[in-house]
Amino acid sequence: MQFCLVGQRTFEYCGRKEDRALLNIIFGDVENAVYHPPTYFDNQYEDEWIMDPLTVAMIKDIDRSDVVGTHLIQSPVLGPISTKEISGGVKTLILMAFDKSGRIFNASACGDNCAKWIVELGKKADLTINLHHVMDFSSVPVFDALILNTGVVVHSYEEYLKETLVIKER
Amino acid sequence: MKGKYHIVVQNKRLRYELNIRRNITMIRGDSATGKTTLINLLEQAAVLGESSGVEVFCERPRRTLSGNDWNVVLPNIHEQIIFLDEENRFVKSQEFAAAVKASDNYFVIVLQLVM
Repeated sequence: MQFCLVGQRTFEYCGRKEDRALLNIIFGDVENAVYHPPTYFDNQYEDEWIMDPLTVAMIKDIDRSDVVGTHLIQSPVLGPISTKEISGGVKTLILMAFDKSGRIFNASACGDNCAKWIVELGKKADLTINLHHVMDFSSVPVFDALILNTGVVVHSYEEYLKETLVIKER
Repeated sequence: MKGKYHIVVQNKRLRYELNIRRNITMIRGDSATGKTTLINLLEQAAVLGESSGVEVFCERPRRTLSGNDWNVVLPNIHEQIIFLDEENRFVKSQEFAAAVKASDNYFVIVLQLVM
């Protein structure tokens, strides 16, 4: 049994029967969650994360930019930029992928264009994210996620939307 | 404050043009579309003026608002266009909502979520 504090309520949920990675979503204020991941990223990122093929792909997709080196990214709009100048959304995705501190990151710092990457990251390893809004996952019509507020596992964007309607913390 | 105001914020590489016509304007969009950069440019212009290399054209005074002392600063700002980033947690507070309602400024809030 695992527990999670959301606002003034403690949610408990059981481990899953299937042994596979799952995306877990908590809506609302979560104690000790990182509310502004881009600032946390600026102060905590590791150089080795930037050259990882996953990071290179996310930066290419979200920021339309190319990773030239650990400390240099080529942006079509801003020109050559440092790692700290990539978008807040992609910084948050990189934290979700590589940060092993166990922290829960506020995915509402990401635009909806990051949703498909969040689903992908949730397939590779267990990922728990915090949301303060109903993120648009319509770019991924079929995905599995455990909504921690209700304990329900959803398997599609449609089910996700229906489930969020009953969550007052959203 | 009433009326419609055209704002241009630019440097050598970027140019933003906005028409602000209401007391609250929200700017939202995908990641990496330049929302935070707009706020950063305005902050640089506010702190360093012309020497920031950022040009801001608007017939109304404009500024950014951030930090935990917003409730001390805001009562002393009148008839300006105020830009805020939603990363400031106070933006979601009831206290801030009440302050905006009572204010004679225009507010432009950069956000990424539905409020």
